[in-house]
Amino acid sequence: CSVFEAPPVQRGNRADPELLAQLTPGVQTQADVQALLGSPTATGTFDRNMWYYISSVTRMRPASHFTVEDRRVIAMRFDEGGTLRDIREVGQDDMRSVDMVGRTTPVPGTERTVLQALFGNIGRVGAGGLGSETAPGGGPGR
Amino acid sequence: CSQWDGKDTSLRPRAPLAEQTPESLYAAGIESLRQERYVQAIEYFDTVEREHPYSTWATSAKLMSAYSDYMRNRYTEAIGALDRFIQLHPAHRDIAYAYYLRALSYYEQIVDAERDQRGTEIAMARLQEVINRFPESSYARDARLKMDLARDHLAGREMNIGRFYQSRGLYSAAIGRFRRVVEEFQTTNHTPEALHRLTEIYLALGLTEEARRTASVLGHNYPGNPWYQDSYALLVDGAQPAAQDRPGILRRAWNSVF
Amino acid sequence: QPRRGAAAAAQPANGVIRQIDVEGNQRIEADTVRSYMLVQPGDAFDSDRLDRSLRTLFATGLFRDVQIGRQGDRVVVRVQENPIVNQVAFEGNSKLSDDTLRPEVQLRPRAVFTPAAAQADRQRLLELYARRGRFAARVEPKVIERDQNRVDLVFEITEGDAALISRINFVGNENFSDSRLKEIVSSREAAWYRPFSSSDTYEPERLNFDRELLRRYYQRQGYADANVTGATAELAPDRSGFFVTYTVNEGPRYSVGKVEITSALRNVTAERLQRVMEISPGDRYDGDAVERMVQTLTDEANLAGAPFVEVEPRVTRDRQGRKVDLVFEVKEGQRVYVNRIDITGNTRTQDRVIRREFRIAEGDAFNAAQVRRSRQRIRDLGYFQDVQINPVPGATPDQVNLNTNVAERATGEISIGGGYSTDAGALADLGLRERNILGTGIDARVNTTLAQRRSQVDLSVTDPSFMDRNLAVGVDLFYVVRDLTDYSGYEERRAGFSLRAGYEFNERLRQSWSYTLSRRNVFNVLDDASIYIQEQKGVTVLSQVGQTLTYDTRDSRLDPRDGYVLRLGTDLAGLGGDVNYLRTRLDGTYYVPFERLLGDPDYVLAISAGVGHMFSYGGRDKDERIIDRFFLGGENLRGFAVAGAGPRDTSTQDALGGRTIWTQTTEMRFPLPVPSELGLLGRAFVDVGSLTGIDSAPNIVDDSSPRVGAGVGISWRSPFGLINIDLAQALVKKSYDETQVFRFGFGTRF
Repeated sequence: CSVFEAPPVQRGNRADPELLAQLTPGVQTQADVQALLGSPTATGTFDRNMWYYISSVTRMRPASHFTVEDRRVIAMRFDEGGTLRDIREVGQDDMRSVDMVGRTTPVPGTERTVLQALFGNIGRVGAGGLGSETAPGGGPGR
Repeated sequence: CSQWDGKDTSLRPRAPLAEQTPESLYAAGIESLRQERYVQAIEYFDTVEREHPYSTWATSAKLMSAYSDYMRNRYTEAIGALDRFIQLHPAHRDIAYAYYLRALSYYEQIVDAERDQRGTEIAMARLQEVINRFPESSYARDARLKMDLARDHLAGREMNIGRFYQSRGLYSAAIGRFRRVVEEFQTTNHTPEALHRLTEIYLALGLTEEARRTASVLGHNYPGNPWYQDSYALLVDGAQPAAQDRPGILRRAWNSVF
Repeated sequence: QPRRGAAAAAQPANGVIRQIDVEGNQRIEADTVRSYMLVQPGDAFDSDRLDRSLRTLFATGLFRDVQIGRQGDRVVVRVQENPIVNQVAFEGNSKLSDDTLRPEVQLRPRAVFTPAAAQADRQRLLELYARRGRFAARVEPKVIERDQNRVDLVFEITEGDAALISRINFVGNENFSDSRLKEIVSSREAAWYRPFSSSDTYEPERLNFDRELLRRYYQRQGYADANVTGATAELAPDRSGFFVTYTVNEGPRYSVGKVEITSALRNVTAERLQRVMEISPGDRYDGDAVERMVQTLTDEANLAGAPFVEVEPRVTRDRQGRKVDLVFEVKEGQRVYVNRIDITGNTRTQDRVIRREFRIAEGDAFNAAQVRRSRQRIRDLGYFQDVQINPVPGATPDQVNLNTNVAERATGEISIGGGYSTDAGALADLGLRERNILGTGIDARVNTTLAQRRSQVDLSVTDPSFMDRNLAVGVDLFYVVRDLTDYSGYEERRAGFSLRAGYEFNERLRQSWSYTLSRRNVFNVLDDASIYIQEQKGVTVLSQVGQTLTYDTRDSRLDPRDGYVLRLGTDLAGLGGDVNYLRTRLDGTYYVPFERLLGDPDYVLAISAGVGHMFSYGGRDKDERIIDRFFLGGENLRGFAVAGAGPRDTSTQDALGGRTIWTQTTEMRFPLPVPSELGLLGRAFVDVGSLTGIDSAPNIVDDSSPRVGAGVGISWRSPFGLINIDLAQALVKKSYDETQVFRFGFGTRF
């Protein structure tokens, strides 16, 4: 019954099919698409002319991460002039389930054990490059 | 027996601090610094500054008392004293050291990447100040090194948040964070991992073309890197991912405690 | 203002500066002065640059006076240094101590003294006194010259007495009495029973706040046109205090005429929104209800799949018919997405622990209800004093960043519990609890109880989000030795562990499971103990699986003021243990928000009720033991001792517990007339309960008639934990019941 059901939560920028229908390659420019659908969820990592509208619906699930349903990815390609060249929706079958590599790049200072976390801090990085003998100036007039 | 008049000098404490000459007080301060008795050192230096505010010893004493505070991990006091020193003696011979010590005081307060990073941002600003004002000094070289470490911290935070969102399947959030590492923290050693994570996400989203392009950039810039090996394994089926040098769960639990 | 120095003599600007001399400096080196100058040796004489140097030297605030002169080809700078502050002292302050005043003052020992800084500090002190209602205070900074250009700074303060409100009266209020309205406004008349309270001092801003409170109260009662035309305060003729007068123009009382929803959204119809409409035609008009409806409609539209919604309430008044027509226009709102969520202030808690409480992620549509919900969830963690999420414009117009700032609170608690009951004797227990170990969110607690007749150690560790999942996992270990010879005639030792797991179905419904395995030993039973106790002797193993289903709509878990919570608990014992029983409990609490009636959020009425029943199965030798039964008295029936009410063996006065229990509590929490920073809250309560369900047997009395206890209590949020003190009297009791009047407890143990 509905008491046990978790409500769907809309994630990302869901490009509305009706609005998408109004886009035809070769006509709209980036500004038009931005006005119609809002700014893209992501652009190509090294290519400003690829726009992606990514959205999904998540639902809380007992005893695990929430489920991700109805993931929708719209890819748009613009030419140098900024006019829309190609628009396509990624098929569900192209989406592969990729499990993340377990390794992480260590950040200096976070490899602290519990005891270190309790008592040490980031560790003294070189005592200020100064032994007490080479005190600055060592007093006036020297 | 003779009337002991209590004049035995060893019993009487040395002349009260106030009357001592600035030089002897300063030397005593340096001596206690060497023996790492910082509280006493601060007391000496403060007396020099209070009793002889016009002697040139006072300025050096102010700097040395800030240094003692720094060594005792009392960074806020050290920063306060250094701010005053910089304001009063901008043309002092050791002004570079004062700026450097202040930058260090902020740097030492950096906590790990999981927590509030505002301290890191302030530390980076102060270190940058040392580099701008005294480019050739030895302090600038050390400041540049510390800047990289601090920048690495900020990149580490972005990566943590990126991985947090990716592990939950919220790919649009994760992309934003990894993109920020690739764009604003290229010089840190997190960039290969960020590029690999982007490849993973684009593949999961079915944008194989984008994934291929990101992986090629990763391969081009970091050829031998294990992360490229992982990306390659994802794109070319059959290729072997890098060795999972991930210690077992027991080992990790043991490490995390001791 | 220090005297302006004379600019360079107007000599023909020719020739080159060979040298800059500095005279009159004592503490500041000549190089320092030269470094601030805009001209260096070798530059040409340029009166404009010299004048600018003069101004920069003044700007440093180091000098009282600066003069730049020219002698031949040398520039001479004569300076008079500002003194250094040696000491800062306060005289004549009695109401505010030195250490409350010192942080307000910027001038510190060894800082540079300037007259401007002294005036600024004087202003700061005056503002501090004004905030405390002492408008008549006067502050005079006095400077005492010292040798070597040092000064002592003394602030001579004459505090004057606080301007108190001696009387509050209202003009133009026909429908509500003066005393009724006095409850609404936050100002109070000065009275002997309000010695510490600061709400009886006269403060201008408070009058405006009161006007708003009055207007909202009238809006709630249906007076759509009401407004407070004036709030004036005149000084009493004998200057003892102020007379405050509020003039109100009530206007007619309105009831609701037509209520209509129009939806301009593409995919959400008005009928769908009609379902959550709470205002119906004929109701009394209530301004607050309209505002709440705007929020409910927005939330409902978001849920129905329209992320960006704006609800515009249009109110049309019909003065003759005293009717108000409401039209809620729902239309497309401005499209905004969350770009980044930045968390600051978490010096101990990990970013992950906070971020996983967010109901909204980066890249999602901005939704005010979700942001409010996220803030409440972070607050419910209990690690922070304050949580603020404020949206800040992002890179592009349709993006926003959520800057979240948290203020950490000490989450380690040392709790000391104490109590005196007629039977357990003096009871003290010590608890160490860290709710947020190393910022990972894991809650660990160890409790030891040392009492005349009970010693107990239990350790519990809980991770609220195991592996970052919607799964809380916990383990408890316990070892209990109880000497109950006095009231049940036996001693009991229990040792065991329990594993817990819990998850949420949605924002309101959560469930938790637990498995408990414990070995109980009842030993050295007195030979004159009740025969039913004799049966309990020996070792029994309890293996029990339990679940609790919780439906919770309260506005906050830590300090609820609105909504209700229902809990259904079922425990099944058997599975290889020596005892087989099924025990179910259903209890609930409903919080009546007095805020809408009285306007003061601290008045809370909590009505709770609970019913429990258990039965054994699988033959006589598998019956439940006494310790598994329900007990009435102490926590669930104040006024009675622990297990003080219910079935009892009259021959030996031993409590036997019962199989069926119901309890009902009505508790009214109210603020005490003391400054709120003390954290003192009063409460009055009436507890009712009954316990029954024992097989009838000789000299056993089992009377299921309800017992009643009532009393008052105080809870004080002290620096090292919550202190609760209750005085309760058993009103309806049986002769053989055992009462307990006084209970207190420190820390969260109570």
